[in-house]
Amino acid sequence: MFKNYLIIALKVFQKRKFFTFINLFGIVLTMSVLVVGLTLLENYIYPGHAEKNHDNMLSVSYLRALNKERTQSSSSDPGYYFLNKYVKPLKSADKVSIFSSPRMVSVYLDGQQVKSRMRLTDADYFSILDFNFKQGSAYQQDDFEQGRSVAVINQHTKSLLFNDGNAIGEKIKFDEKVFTVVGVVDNVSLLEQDAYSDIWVPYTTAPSSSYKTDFMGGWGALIYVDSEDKRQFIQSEYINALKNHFEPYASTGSDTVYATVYSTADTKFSRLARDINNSRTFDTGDDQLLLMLGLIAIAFMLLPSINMINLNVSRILERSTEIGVRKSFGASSGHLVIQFLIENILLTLIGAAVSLIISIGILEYIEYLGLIPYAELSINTSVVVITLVLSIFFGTLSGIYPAYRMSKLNPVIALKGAA
Amino acid sequence: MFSHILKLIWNRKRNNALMITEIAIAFIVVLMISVLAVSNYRNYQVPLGYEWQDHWQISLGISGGWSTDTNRETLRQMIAALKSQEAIDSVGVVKEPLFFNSVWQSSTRSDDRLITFNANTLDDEAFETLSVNFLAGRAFDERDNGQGYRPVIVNQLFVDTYFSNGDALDKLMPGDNANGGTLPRKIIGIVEEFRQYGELAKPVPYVISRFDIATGHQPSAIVIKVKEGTDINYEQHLSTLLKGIAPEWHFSFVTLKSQRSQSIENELTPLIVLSIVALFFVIMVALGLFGVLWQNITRRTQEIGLRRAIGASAMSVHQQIIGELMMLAAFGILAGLVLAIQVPLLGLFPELDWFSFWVSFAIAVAVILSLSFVCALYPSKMATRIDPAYALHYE
Repeated sequence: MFKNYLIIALKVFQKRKFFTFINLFGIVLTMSVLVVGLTLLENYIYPGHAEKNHDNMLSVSYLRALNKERTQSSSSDPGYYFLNKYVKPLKSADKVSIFSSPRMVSVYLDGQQVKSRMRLTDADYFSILDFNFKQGSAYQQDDFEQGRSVAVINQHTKSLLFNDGNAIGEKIKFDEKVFTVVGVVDNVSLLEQDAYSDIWVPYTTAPSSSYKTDFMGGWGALIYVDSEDKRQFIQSEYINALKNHFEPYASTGSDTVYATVYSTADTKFSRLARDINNSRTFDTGDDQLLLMLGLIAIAFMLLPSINMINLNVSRILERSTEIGVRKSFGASSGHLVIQFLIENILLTLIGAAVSLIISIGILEYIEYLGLIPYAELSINTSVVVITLVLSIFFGTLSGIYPAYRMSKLNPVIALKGAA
Repeated sequence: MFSHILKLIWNRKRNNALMITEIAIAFIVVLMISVLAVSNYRNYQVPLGYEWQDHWQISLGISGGWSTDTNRETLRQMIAALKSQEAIDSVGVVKEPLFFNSVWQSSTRSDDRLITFNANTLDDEAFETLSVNFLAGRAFDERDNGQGYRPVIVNQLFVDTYFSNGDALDKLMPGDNANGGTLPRKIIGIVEEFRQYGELAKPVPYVISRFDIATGHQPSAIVIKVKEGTDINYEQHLSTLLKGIAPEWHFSFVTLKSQRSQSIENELTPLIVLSIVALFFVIMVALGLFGVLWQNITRRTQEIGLRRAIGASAMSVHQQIIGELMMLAAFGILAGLVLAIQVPLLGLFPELDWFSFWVSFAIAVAVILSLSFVCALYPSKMATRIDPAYALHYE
């Protein structure tokens, strides 16, 4: 029976090609935008490159501090002092890395100049993140402790400065200081926020150690745990430490004394939730973000659905003879509803398949334009599965009402073929 | 004719309700895009208020906290060193950098009303460096030293917003307690505009106070005006010079020209993506309307045939079909308006003013009506071709 439905559906699609085209146009448009959005989200939440161990990592990237009266507050990324005092000593963490946010530097080499992002890190940074080294290797704990002027650069910077040749041992100069290249890594996309940069150097090479007293701004931390289950434990340990053991901090250069702080150790998703919800407390608002994403997807499908409902309702009479015959031979309304629904879902599935192909093109175009620096966007299985689920939902949403109207057609009138 | 069309629509209310919903949603989508386009265009029309063509911005990474006297002295030396350069015409210091979304908002209470504005501090020379266009008054200078007030310069929008009689020069505002003590602020100059966030940002009331190295807040950038033809290689020279004075600071150089195009690109890219998606949505709706109408005509053969048989001209059938869709579109627009008007009414989107809303409304109405008209053209033509004799035969 199911097979018959499919054969009838395909016949119907072929019979009125123009209408099939209009329906497909709407489906493909909607699903393509959803697939592109989903892929971006997926590539952010489940990075596949340097942050591929994201399941074992937590990131500290937000700090909000208030004075005792709660009249003054300031929020930004944390400073080195804060991270060193409250994140580094976390007991259940297996490794903690502290690093700066990237900033722009001008690299000079034989009269050329290249603008690059530069990040200051420790040596653990490279053991937590899984960079793909093309040449050389990361700087070691020893380099870090001795404050040696060594640098890791990415493929992009290497090809700008040294073309295709070997870069290891070459000198580059920025901030009026000369660094020796010890490693070349694959480019890391902006979506991997903690790994993204062009150049990495040990923070012990900074010309002054004044960063050690910065309470706010410019730094972040990654916490690594051996097993995924320990993450929740760390998250509560961190919040507990801030709630119960925070020592009031008098900020330099103003008379504000910070008495309360808010900060969390985030997964990729909760970090996104904090950014989007603008959360300012210990709650990053993961549930709100999930709800919001769901609502956006549904709102987005609304217009195409109504368009399809409209079109299909106006086409009911096309099928009146068929419906009349089936009803007089005893088919129930339920049978007919299911038949028409399957037809509609089949069409949305075809549309979804087409939109997956189109999305590959759109994603390549986004890469080509460089809208997201160094992003390599690929559609993976989970995006395909979600897309198919969404398209079945979309097919049901847009098919159920026309199917119901069709099934309710009076067989006598239907057989006569009049309205 | 109107009541006739209304009756026809009412008779098929179930199907028409769907059409109206679809048109209403499409209308809201078009309205949203036009609001964005109109408000951005209007912002773009407002003069920037300063020049950027031959200017560089040097962001300062000040090490060890700004408040130390050594750092203030270092900055003083840097400004002197930059000024002595052959290729540099003028050097100014700003607290909030230009063409960045770095916002400093402030407010004060004067005569029991709240005055809110965006703020910045500039040093005396920055006005000359950036060729800021004064409408009245003057830039900061020695005359402001040791006075019983703190001098401020405001933009014309600030005057228009908070001084109903338009007379703001030499007026006093209360001081803020955070810095400069309680000295009142005196408006010593009015500039045409100072649009720190670039051409696409909404103009806001803006207050500039005087930057003084000895007591001022931490500045974020030095702005220099270079001689024409100075190329980017000059940057390395400046970097060496500044690092020589302050080895522990870091500097990043950017021309205001490239920073400006970067900020415009950042604003426009999401808009362009949205517009493309909206364009496809509109095409989809147009195809849908066309399809539904076509289908309806084939179904209403008898009705139209009857009209023709009792003497209606081809023209009046033509008008009926187009009139019906236009009427549906009008209902859709009305429904869309009822929903969309809540946004400016409730102030959900403070960037949106009524003028932009109504201009965008007019654009969206024009788009939806002409779209419906085009969609109805071919089906209505088809309807006129119906042969009455054949149509009456139908069953």
